[in-house]
Amino acid sequence: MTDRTVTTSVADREARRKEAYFTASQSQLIWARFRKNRSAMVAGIVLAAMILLGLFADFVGPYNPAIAGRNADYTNGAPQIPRFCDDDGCSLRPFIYGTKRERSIATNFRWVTTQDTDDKRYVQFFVRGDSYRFLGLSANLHLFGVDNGYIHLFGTDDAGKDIFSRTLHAIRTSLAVGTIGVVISFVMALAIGGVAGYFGGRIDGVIQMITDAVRVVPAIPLFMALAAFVPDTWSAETRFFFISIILGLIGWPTLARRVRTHILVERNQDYVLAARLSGARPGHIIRRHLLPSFTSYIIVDLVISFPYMVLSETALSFIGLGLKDPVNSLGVMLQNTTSADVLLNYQWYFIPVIFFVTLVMAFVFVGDGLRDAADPYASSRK
Amino acid sequence: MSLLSVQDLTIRFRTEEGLITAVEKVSFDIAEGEILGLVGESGSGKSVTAKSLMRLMGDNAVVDPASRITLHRQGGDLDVLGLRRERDMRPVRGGEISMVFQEPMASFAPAITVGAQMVEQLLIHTNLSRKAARTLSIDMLARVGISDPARRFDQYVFEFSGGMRQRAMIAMALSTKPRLLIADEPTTALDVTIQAQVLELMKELVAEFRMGILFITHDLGVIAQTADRVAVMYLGNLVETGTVRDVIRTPAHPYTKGLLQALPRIDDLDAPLVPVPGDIPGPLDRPEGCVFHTRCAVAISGQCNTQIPQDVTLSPGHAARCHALTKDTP
Amino acid sequence: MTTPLIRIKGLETHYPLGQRLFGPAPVLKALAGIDLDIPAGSFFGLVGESGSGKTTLGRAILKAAPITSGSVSYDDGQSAFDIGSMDARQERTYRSRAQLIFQDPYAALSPRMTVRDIIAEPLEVMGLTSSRAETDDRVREIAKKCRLNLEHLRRFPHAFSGGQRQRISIARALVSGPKFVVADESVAALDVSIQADILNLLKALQKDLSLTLLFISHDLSVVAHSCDTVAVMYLGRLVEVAPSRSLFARPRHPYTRALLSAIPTLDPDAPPKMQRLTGEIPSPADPPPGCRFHTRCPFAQARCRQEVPELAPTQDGGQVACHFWKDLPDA
Repeated sequence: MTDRTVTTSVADREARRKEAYFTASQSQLIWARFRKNRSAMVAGIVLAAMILLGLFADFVGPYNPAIAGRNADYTNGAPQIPRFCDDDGCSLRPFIYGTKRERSIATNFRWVTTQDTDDKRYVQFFVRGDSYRFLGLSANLHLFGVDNGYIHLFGTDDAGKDIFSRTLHAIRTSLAVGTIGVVISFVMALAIGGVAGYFGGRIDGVIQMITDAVRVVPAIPLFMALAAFVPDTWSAETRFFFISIILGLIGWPTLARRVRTHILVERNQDYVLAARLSGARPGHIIRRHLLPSFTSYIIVDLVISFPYMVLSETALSFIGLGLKDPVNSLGVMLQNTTSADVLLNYQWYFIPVIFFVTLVMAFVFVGDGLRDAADPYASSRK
Repeated sequence: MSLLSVQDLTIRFRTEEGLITAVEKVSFDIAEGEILGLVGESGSGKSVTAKSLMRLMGDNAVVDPASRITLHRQGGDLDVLGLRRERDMRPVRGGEISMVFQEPMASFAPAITVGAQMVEQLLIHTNLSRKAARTLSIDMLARVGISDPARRFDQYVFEFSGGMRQRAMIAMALSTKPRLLIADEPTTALDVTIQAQVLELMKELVAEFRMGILFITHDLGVIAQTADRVAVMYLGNLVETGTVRDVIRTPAHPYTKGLLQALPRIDDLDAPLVPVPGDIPGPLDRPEGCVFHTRCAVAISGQCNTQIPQDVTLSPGHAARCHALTKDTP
Repeated sequence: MTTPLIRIKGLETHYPLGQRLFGPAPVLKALAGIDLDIPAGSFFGLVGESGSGKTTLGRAILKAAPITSGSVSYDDGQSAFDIGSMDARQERTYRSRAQLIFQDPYAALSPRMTVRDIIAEPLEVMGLTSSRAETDDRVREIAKKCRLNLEHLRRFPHAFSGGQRQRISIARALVSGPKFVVADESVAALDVSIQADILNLLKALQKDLSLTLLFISHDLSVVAHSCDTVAVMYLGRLVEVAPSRSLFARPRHPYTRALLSAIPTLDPDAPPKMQRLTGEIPSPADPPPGCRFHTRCPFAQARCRQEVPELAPTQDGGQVACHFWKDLPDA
């Protein structure tokens, strides 16, 4: 008797699983396929983690990344890794050593920073520190800090600014620039590519010419010209928006071409003709058939364009045409890395690079995974 | 003399959803100068069978170790499934065995002239010089009924019409004088008047070259007019084999009977069309026992859904796999 | 004589083929003068090979292909339209009277909509129902008639086989209650055992819903079986129209004869057919002058090269377009 109940429940589960497959909408199917792709899932988790870090940069980073939060006593300081144990024994709470700066004849009158193993500073969680604004409210809670002094997980730069905090803020800035750029180019691409693809004919021809013209404009000289045009009186924030908008305006042609191709293909599908033969108006066809047909492809295109925006901004800021201090971005941080001194002695300046490589790769893997998962006809053809 | 023997061919594919069986225990022989028709609908496994003869199944194919495909030749039999290196597989890919596909537009490279492709085929499989290969190719184009072959030799495939493309593909396949030609739905995409011409051509060439042809199609009418023997496949299993006369006049297997009843016949316009009930099960829903039992009108409960039927010989050369046949004579 | 449902006179459909700097642009005459009457309630077959224009004709009747000249009119006793010169409002009404069933069951259904939504779409677009409940009722009613399992209405197309999808396609075409349905190669993409099923369904639906069906196909055996009248096209012109039985018993036009003899029959011992055609089908962009079939016709004469034959009535209720049909030896 128990056997039969066991087998019926297996059969039941099988039937329910099949029914779930039959009633799954397009996005559910895509998600199910995406989930099976392990590298894409891992990349997705990494990406989500980095986005969270960026959003909560003020909270996770212990100090204000600008001059206001600098540690004047520990410039160009090496990273301080918290430890649990040392010669004196272990403790549950992680701690770091304090540092002492001294100068003497022995050191040729150069400031030398040494670790003071007697000065243990315990790491505490949820401490109050520098204040910041979050969603319009003022707050000063930070994820961690030390009971006295500073803690610099990634070390400091030559002004004493904490590199860890700066990295987190840089992630946020780059994501913000990327988002604004992608949104602007997407909106323009959808409108321009959509009109070209839907109406075809001469309108398409004219729009194609304009698109090609914009695409051919070389980016670097354009930016140099625009950078020269930007007045110095503009605040860092204004400059930030300006750069983002410019990136968006340069980026739309590629996306517009993709949108146009998608629409051209979908427009000729039998089911669109069926709708037209029922007397459906263009608005209905666009809303009900065309837009949903390529939403998944557009999401893929967006995710893949993101890293290009981030990298463009990085490159521009690195050569000085993009963002400037005190706004943090990877490009800005990398500006300081071009001296031999840094290369030889202060290698921790390059730690943010790892974060950015990871961010870009995560975007790429997620984008690839989405693209592989998004083909609606993949497994249902005979 | 037997040209090719296939024994207990079983092929499964690894997919996301699991291991699906495409072909199960298929056995047949093709003799020299014989046209064997392989008939089946979607999911029957006929294309997979054909491709396996040329070792073209794909990376995720799992061939059962009991399967045997043997090409009989004067210098010694060739175990096709035992070939390991790509190099060794060359004779079965365009040399001794050649293939003609359904979509000739997709089988010719669009940016290379037809002639260049034919010559390439010859250079790979024979010792002919380039000049000799060119002459032979033009001869073959003429042989298949393409007018002005020397000019056509230098044209691209998009300049050919549908029927001409198919003929060119036949010319290319036959230029290496294969002993076995596999034709996978060669006339399905052609208009019926062109189809008639191409079928005539194939029959003439078989007589002239003493080839065997494995003719794969879903169209029983084409088989009736072209083939000598026919094998009917359903969901990866061979359900009936025999001469065309035997199978079409006196079908034994319920599926064959069902297929014949579902066909509209020009010579009997008043006969009703009787569809085979139900739907072809998907590859994940492969029925237990006899694969056809879910749609069979004479299925014996308790037997057909548990035991796989064995071959029942109805007359010399005519066999079918059905439990109901052992009970009473058809 | 009852008015035919669809009346076509001198229909020509031209597609432009690019542009020239000097002189008129070349055109593809997909339809080069069609005169045809489709009687109400018939299961009318339209056959031809590639380039015959049969698909274009079906679409032109539905105003989904251009009508360059000539007229197509629809008259079902309640409303009458001249398809070529309808205004927008008339067109919307016509759309609820005339529908199309596609060939490819995989491309004809939007993969992103549930079956219920796919079938309901014409009702919603045409505004034929006033509430969701009413729409649901009509969807269920037509789904039942098309032998679809009502529980499957909330599934997506990827759950269904080719035959089932074609039934969904048929249900969608019929939900608005049309009088005229064009089935464009609707069974060509299906397996043989499923073809029979769909053909039987179409016949049953035709009787049940008093439909007029224009069945376009390249497969003569299918047409022979299901249709009561058959029209044969070649390169944009009609060559023969006849009741199905007489067309197949006594084909008059040389092309019809050749077409029939080319169909492989299931009888392996049938005597070899006489009429094998030679040559390729000419391109519709560059058709032969005079009778378009003369280049492949075994009976062609000088007159055939010069003069276009018109459709002339035969004694069994058919029509033939051939100068010498009376003189041809019996097939």
